[in-house]
Amino acid sequence: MLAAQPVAAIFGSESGPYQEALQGLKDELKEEVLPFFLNQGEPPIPASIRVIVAFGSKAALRKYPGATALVYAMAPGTIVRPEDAVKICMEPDHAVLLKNLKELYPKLKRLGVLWQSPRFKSYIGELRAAAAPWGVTIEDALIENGDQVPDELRRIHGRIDALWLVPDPLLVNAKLLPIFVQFSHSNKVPLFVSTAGLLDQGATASVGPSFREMGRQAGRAARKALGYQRQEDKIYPAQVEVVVNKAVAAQVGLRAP
Amino acid sequence: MLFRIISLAVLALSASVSRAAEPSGELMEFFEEEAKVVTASRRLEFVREAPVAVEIITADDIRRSGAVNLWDFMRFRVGMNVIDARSGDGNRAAVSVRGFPAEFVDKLLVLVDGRSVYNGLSGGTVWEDLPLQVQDIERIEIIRGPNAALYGSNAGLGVINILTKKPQEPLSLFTDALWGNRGMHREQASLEQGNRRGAYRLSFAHKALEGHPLTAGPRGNDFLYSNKANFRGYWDLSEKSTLELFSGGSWETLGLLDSAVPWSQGRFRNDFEMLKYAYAAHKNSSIQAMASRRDDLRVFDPNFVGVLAAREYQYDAEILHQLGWRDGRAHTTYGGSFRHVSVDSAGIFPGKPRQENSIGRGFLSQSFSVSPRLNLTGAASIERSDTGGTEPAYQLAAVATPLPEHTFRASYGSAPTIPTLYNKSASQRASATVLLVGNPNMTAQRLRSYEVSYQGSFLDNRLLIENNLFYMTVGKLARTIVQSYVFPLLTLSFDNSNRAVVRGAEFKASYKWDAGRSVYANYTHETVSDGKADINVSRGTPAHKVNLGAVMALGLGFSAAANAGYQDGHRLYSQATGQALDVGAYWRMDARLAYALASCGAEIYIAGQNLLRPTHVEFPEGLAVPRTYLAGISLKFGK
Repeated sequence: MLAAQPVAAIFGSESGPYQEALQGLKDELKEEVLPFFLNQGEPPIPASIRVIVAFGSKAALRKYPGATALVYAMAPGTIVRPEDAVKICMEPDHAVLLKNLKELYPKLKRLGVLWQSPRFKSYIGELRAAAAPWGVTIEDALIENGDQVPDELRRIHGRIDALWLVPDPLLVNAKLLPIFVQFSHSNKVPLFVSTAGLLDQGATASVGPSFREMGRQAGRAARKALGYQRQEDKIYPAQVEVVVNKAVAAQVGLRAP
Repeated sequence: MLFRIISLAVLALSASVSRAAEPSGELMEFFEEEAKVVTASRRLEFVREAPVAVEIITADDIRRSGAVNLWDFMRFRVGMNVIDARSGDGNRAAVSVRGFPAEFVDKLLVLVDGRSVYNGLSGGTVWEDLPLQVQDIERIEIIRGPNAALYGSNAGLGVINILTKKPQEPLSLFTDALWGNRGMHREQASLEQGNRRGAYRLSFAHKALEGHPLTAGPRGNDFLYSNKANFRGYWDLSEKSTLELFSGGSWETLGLLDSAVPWSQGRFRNDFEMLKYAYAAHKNSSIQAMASRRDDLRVFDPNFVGVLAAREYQYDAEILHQLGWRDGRAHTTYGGSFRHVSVDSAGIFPGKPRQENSIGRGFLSQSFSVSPRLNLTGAASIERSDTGGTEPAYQLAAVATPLPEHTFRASYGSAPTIPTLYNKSASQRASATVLLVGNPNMTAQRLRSYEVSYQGSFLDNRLLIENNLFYMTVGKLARTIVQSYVFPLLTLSFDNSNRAVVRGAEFKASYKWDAGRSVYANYTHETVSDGKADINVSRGTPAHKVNLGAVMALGLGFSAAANAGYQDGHRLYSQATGQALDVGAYWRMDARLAYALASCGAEIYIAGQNLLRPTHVEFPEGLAVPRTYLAGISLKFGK
């Protein structure tokens, strides 16, 4: 009568990042998870499922039946209301980020951050507060539309030592990423990103969890939800990767460790 | 070297930045898909388009409340008046929004899955009689303020929109049983089954209770035996079209308060069917059509005059077209509806037992995003009814979001409340000393409301705050008047000679720590003045209401919820008895403690209502609302 798997995992598609996350989820939950991929159609979720782990904003924003708990990951521009869900963040914890940035770039005192998705407004406030003890100030700019990016970069040029590109899906795209990269190379301003996969596009270094680690963290959160344990509604993955593009690092004057 | 750096810097500052080769790969596809979702939802986040004040009660809120009766879920909400009242037509609750709590609340429209359940005979909603089960409810939307242009007449104070869950489980069985003091028990069960093309749900509920004691102490004649059955199913006829069928019935036997006949009983039967069809013509255009039928028979046995029966039929049909244009910045909805209500009752309408009312309505609603920060909405309707004549309704709202998560709204609404068949044509001996007579010259009441509001979220969406200020006038306010008094017979009738002004303020705040822990508080202040110095009007609404509550996940599967509410003393009038009573101020607290079994879909709980005092009075019909305790268990099985 009751399904053996109390956890269902819903993925936006079957592409590489989601497959990595699924591996991480299985690392944690073994065979207790039932995966569904939205590109295959409507997921027939059994009634016995008590926890949904959603990967991607499309999966996170779906309505799920009954009193299922929701854990969602890989939805960087999306917030599901706190009473409904636990979010696994794509960016690293603020203190972890700043510690690693300072190790990579000891001279860092002014960090520039551009953002567009409304969700990052509160992130900026938290980052600013966390940066103060490290002696770092945050120079941020809200972007209304992508055409403003060159102007904003020109405005903050000279006022920042490095640029932190948050995983804002409205900024990380084929049109705008090269603008960030060119600004970084031309002005010798290191461009730090949260996802290692962006390094081959010309970013300097990445500090952030892998997709597999996000899957593992989602698995841990799902296990807690199964046990009705209290947990934060926003979780930063425990492990982050620091990956350096040595060629770009040399170009922008960063000494790779 | 220096020159080269400067020239590179100049290139970087140049407006035309040469583009590198297009990045490709699954990572960029991932971000691209995410951007689509954020862009689509960003408009909703950035501009809160709701042109009205809305409160949502979710299925989780209902489960945690510990309440048993449908109307109890709406207690403790800002702007709400919920009273355990027993009226002459067998109603067991009076629910109103923004004032005017009364036996028959004729300015509040209640919909179930879009179908009006407004009682065409005497006005208002007969709550216990609704063929609707608590276990089937997905959410309740309480929309405060005039909404007649969008929903139809009799929505001047607001609309309560009850939505049931759409069946979607492959196969599941849900059961719930609870037992309480005062002879209360309730059993519920539902079966749901579906596949990729469609699904259905069958549900059944039985409830029995002794009811409230008399204020004087002994058991009152307030018992209830209730059975409800419902069906809801849908079929995807194609990728673009869906057909839905709703059907249900409610059968009750209940004790009635009648000083002349203390053992009087009511036997009520209410059944309905509704068919809905939706067609998505293309991405931005959809057509919806609905047809429904309702048959409501109520027998009062015995009544003062013997056995009184009233049978009401209602037929509804509606069609509307929704259209998005200008790249989703504009939305248009237009359509029409027709309703026919007929009531057969020789006891209420001697001489002409069948009374009828036909209502035709056309409506148009338009919203437009002037900018990402400003949205304008307007709606208008024209309605023609046999009892109310031709009446227009309007709504205008401007919603501005100058900063993300902070929204300001200014709105105006004008709505009619059409007379009921009872108001116009009744001639009923309500008791040994009271005769109620209709007034064929009754006309529609006209409600106008001006409102400003602010909504904001702080601390990463954990703290939500809402403020509303409103000024409302009710022209041609219907009232009960004394037509004549020849001992011992008091003859009451109705007219439209009064006018009322309501000034109100609503404040709401909630804070959520995490999933499972939250607190809220709300406060409502209303003052009512009228043109006839009628204290039943000016003192009929509590001036101050405060509600507090909390939900706490306690760990190890335990959770608790508590709600407490206070309202000022006020004055309530009973049409059936012709008497008014000053109801004193009171606090009320309801609470629930639950344990969810981790190994299966089960939950056991204990709950209590009206915990702060043994009894208190909410309505002048002679009953005291007692303290109640209950315990229950719910189980869900599925595949």
